[in-house]
Amino acid sequence: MSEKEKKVIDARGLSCPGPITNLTKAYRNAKNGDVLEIWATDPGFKSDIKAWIERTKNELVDLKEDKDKIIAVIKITAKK
Amino acid sequence: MEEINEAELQSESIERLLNLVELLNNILKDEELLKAISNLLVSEETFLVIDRLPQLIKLIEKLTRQENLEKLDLLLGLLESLDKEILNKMGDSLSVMKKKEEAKPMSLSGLITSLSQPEVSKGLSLMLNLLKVLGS
Amino acid sequence: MIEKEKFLIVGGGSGGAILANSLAKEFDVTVINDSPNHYYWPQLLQIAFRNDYSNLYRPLSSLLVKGVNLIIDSVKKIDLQERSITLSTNKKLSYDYIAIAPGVTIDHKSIEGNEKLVNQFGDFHSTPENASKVFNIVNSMKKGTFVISVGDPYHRCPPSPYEGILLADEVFRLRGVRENINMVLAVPYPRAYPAETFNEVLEPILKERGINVMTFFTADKIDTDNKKITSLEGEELSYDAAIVVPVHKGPKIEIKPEDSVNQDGFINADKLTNQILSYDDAFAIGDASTSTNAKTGVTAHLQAKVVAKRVLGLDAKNTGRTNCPTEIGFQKGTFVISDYNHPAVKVPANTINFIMKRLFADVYWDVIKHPEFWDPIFDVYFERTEPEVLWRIFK
Repeated sequence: MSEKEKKVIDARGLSCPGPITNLTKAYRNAKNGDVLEIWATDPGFKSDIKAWIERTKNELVDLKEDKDKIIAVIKITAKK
Repeated sequence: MEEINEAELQSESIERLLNLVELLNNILKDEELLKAISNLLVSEETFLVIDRLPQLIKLIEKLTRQENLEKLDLLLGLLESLDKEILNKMGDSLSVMKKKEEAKPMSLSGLITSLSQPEVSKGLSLMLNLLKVLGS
Repeated sequence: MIEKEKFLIVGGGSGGAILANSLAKEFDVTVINDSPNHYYWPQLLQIAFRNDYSNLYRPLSSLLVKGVNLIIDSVKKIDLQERSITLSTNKKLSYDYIAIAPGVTIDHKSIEGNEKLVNQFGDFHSTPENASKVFNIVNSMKKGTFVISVGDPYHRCPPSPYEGILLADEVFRLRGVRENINMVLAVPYPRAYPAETFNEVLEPILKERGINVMTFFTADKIDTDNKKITSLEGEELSYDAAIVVPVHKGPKIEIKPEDSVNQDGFINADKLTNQILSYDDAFAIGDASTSTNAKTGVTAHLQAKVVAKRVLGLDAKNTGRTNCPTEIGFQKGTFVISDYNHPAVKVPANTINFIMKRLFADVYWDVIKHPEFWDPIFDVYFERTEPEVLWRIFK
């Protein structure tokens, strides 16, 4: 995938469910095949993002903890 | 020049006064607000309190005498130092006392065995300390 | 006499008007507003559920103090580099300082079918006419499914969808039709209320009132023929009457440089100072600004005070304080109180909080007009109700 298709959503410093609302906002403008990378610092984000993936049936490519943030990489596959 | 300033000040004051009247009017016209306030104020408890108002005033007068205020402060300090859990337990054991059938007479050997229980000996030492203070 | 510096304020809402009145003595202040009236947007909820229009608007001129200039016109363009703005009449104005506070643009089109739906059932985030449609439907509906669905998590007044569904419940109960109506609240979040802590206050209330909550449901398409809402997340919801909280976008003003605006048209401003990018003479406050963590009048008010202090040389900063009165029907209310460092406090719902909400609304006009009178009162209020203090009380 090229870096062009990847969109970074920086939701650091937002407490729950800031990151998810930012993702929702980006999801409205996204197309299938797009890759979204979300940065968050809120510890509740990990379980929220997993629940979101389960409900929306998109693909969670990666979920990892960096030293100063949580990074989730999502591939949009389920948009109608 | 001074006269104009004064006239201006007065007109400003009158305008502020009118603003405040408008504000008050806004509050008085607010049906939902007045409904909520009356719901809060008009209740059985409020009527009871109003009924006992003379007694309440007397009570407040007594409580706020200087010597009583000091005592109240001490009592409050004592209350704050009390542990909730201990109070709960004490309440429980007191309620056992009410049900007389549950409190059985105790034999001398039973008493001695009880004394060796750590909870009992801790409580006993507390009570003895208290008795010492009361007696001194 | 030294000539005062020119301070332009785009928008005469809560933020703009308070800022203008706070700086009238020190600056040559001009407010530009696209309407002669100043609207109190929380009143839309009162129109929608109580048919009460009393606090909807006042002439803006009556809310500005002597010395503040007012231009009724819309702003076409703002050039931060050139320090100038262009009005719809093509008239150009220059400034020494500018504060951009025009509020949001409601965009019904972003959700397919929402224009048609609003025509039928109205909403309580756009206009008084649409709010009155809501009043008609909640007062005529006898049975079926009543839905409030949040189409945009960044809508004005975070608690408003909850207030809406709970006030609708109150109306249905008072009309004696509640048991024939299935009530659904659909939200984009993982739980009923986005802030986990405040959810602990709100969720039990929704449950007790028999309101069904659908999570992870962001309205995306509405099929008004078959009465169905489809969510971005891919689920469907049937309704007999529905209100969709519309998508909110930034102001329709061309702002240069282009990177001062994000893709939805909101103005990129610092969350602590409201400053736009590196322009130390330009600020964005209130709903139009990305610095706003809750789109409410209180936030705009507090930001206006921070900007006023900053341009007078003080080092004031936003704390991110929210203070959103939330009514739950039957004369009870609570407050969503949080700041950048503290999650929303679990303030229980009661009558006193409802009375506080009404009093805030009733004194609103005087607060705008007389900052010198209200500032000390609000300073004390905000200090005594700091989230840090309240968290110790409501654990």
